Amino acid sequence: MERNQSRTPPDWVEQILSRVLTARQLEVALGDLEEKFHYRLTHGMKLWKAKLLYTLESFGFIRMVNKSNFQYSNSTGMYKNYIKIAIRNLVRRKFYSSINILGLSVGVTCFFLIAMFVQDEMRYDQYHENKDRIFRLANRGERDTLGGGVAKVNGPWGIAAREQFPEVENVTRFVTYGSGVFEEGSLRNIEEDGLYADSTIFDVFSFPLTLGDAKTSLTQPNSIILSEELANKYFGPANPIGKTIIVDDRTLSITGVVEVPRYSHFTFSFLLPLSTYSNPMRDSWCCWNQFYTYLLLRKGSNPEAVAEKMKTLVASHVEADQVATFNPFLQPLTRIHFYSKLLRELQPNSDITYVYIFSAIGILILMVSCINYTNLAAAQATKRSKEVGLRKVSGAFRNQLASQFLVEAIVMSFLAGLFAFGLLYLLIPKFNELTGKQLAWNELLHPQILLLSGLVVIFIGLLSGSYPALYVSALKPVEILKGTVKINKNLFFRKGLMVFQFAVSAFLLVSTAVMYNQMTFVQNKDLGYQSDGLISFPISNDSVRNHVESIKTALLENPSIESVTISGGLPVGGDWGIPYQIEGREPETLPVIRILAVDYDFINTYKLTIAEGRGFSKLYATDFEKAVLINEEAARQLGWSEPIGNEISIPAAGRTGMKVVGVVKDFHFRSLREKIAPVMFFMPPHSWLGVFTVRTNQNNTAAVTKFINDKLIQYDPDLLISYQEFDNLLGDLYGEESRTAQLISIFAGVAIFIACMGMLGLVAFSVEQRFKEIGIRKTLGASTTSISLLLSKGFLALAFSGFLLSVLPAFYLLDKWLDRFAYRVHVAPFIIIGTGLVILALAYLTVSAQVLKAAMQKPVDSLKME
Amino acid sequence: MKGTNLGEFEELILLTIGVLFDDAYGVAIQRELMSRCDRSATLSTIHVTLHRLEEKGYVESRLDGATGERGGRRKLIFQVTKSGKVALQHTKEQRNELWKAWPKGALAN
Repeated sequence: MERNQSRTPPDWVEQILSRVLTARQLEVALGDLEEKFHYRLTHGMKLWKAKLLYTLESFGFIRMVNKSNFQYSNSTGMYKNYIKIAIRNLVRRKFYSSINILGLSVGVTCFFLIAMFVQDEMRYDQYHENKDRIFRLANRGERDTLGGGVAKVNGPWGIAAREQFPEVENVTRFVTYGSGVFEEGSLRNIEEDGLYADSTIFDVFSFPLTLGDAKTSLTQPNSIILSEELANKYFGPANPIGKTIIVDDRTLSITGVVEVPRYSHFTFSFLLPLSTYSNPMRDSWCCWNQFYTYLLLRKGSNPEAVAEKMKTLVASHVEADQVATFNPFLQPLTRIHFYSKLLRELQPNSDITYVYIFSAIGILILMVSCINYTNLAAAQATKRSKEVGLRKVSGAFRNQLASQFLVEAIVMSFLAGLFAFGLLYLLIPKFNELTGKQLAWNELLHPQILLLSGLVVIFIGLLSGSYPALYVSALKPVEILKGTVKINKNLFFRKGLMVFQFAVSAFLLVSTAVMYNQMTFVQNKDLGYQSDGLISFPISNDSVRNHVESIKTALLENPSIESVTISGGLPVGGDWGIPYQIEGREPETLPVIRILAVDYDFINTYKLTIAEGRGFSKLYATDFEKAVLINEEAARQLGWSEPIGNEISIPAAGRTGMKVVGVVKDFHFRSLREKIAPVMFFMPPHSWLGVFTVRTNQNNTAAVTKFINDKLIQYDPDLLISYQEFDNLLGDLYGEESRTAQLISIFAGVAIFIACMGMLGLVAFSVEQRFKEIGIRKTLGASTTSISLLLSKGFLALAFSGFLLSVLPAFYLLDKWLDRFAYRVHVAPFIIIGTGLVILALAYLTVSAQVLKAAMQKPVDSLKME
Repeated sequence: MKGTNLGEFEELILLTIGVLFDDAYGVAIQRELMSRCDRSATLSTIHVTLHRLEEKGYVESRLDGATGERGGRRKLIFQVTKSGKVALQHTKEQRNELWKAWPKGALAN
């Protein structure tokens, strides 16, 4: 069958092997492979199979990559020579070297910053010995649409779990203490972040107790455990154990000093025994969920089973109609920091999405800078073709040449690494500011990290250097010396790399623009009330609480103060979830309605708008116990087209048969990430209120707060509270997003910087190469402008293609990010176009200097060089 | 003598080259090895071994005989050198000595 002769094995195999084997080995190996190929065909094997086997068998030959010479190269000697030459080359071409090193080191710096950030995040909560057995007990209400659950549960739950479930080895609970007034000696300050804690805290968690006994430190009612910081503050370096300190007018004995690692999902400054928490509702099974409860399960226990048992147990202790609202579930400790976004977290958690985002950005930027190196080095290598040719002719083998260039790359990478360490030293403080972390430069100096960095540097060198190394060592000496080196052979690949660089930069730029757009939108959006000019401060003691009306009157005497209100919480997430009832409707069918506990003046102070009916009014004394306001969304969800006059009861607050007297226009009382939820306003007993809000027409808040302070001191001589400007509170809601936006903007700048530098190098190179061509064109009458255009259009086109490439992914990903906000902007076309223009402009700027210089040169000069 | 220790596979290859006399090249060696010793080895393994043997000086090679089936490429034909034969001999003698040293009773099983 003559058909065999027209069937040939795949020839791309030759391409690959030609890089690995010498000419002779190549011929022989391919010959053998092909012989077998045809043999198989003649003996009836299918063509595809023969080709497959051919390919598979050929791979084995890659092993022979080192067998190209019989000489055992004097490795150490050669490498020393390579390093010497690498350094010499570096110095000789200072311009290119500095661009390269700068670009690489910036990339490495960013990568390290992000790596430190991610590593820090991953450390959270990992230091607890029992970390795999610790679970937080949380509750998911049946119809709870906000947050997916509440992080706090009721007091007896945890205790009963330990007593009745064999899986639960131990339990420890916390209740927020908040801030306390500390007095010791001459010091008197407000200290924040206090917690009540069960005496079992150290059995479950591994907070390092530097002083004191873990077993007994919280067993006595008058004990207190201080953080190292507090201990230092009040007692200096002396051992405070056994000494006393006055907290909120109680004398407590210090039984321990604890060092709380900041990489914990919650931290605290001081601990008081939970046994001293005396709120009358503390033993309620249903209605006082203030306890953060952590269970320590035995090895091999099933958390879901425990949750099921908990549900049954709770159901047996509460009213039948409340059962549906209790759905306990267990959260593994190690997942809380990244994934938990329940209501009432002890402290805001992080989000694993950001870890992913930043890791991706870190890698992208590193790639961008490696590509930079690759392109520049490859371009330079062409310049050094004569050197390469000579080396080859005098007997260097391919792999030796490749090694030389790889060594160069590694040397540069190493220098870049050193430079990066320096940069890191300068930049870490700023980075900490931006991210709210406390990364330390000297953590980098640990031997493991240094070793790892060394490996990273070598890897980067190899990665960036491999392409130039392979490319250069494949040049044929004959061509080099004849001068017919094909410069443009692999230009496509290099152009592709540049496009990728610009794509990454454009993507980051667009992201920055969109994020800032969203942030501005969020900050400027009409919230439905007037948020500026408001100052909030807490009710500091019972005396103040009992005289709120007189205080209000006193404050209003000041012409700078327009109105004063007292509420249970602020409309930045300070709403409550209390069960309510409507007669004639089953509780399970009622929508979840948030509750704002207020007074008569709330609506006016915040300048909310009434859509129907009226607000609370002192003209109607019955309003206090019998009036309730709802927002439009609540009316909608309750299905009330005529809400006025309908009845709502909140038994837990002692309010039954309240009538709706008005409907408030929808406003944002939580972050813009959430859709406006239904909410109702009522006026609770005074003991439920906790915070003042004052509207002032003055810009100078200092004067106003001083005035307020003076008035309050009459009722609280030990007054020590902090005043918050409401707008700042609003800003805090979006802390995470605005920090991210800032960080991304910085990385965008870095990426563009690197990409432009790379382009700069390439332009300079290209100009050099076309020196003669330009001279000739000029003599033929080309104008400066036309030459500029000619030289630059290629690069501009690259930058622009990169930008185009980034548009779709940017669009898609940013849209997803924006979805985290219920109220958001669209990815506006003008942003995309604007970014495109910016990229073009930057590319042009980068290119123009060199191009202009080239275009203006005298033709004489270039033609003279013959 | 140090350095004349042949690996098992190397020994097989050397012997096979001898068997094929003047026609010992990659594919042929592979085929012979398969039919005589039921030993399947990939082409690359064989080539690597041939290379090693050449480095040790036990074989020598020459290019010869391009054919159509090989796409016009020549074969690399190997022959065992004197020192290669010496090494084979040495190995053979070593084995024999060891066999002779077995106590009479053991061989009977």
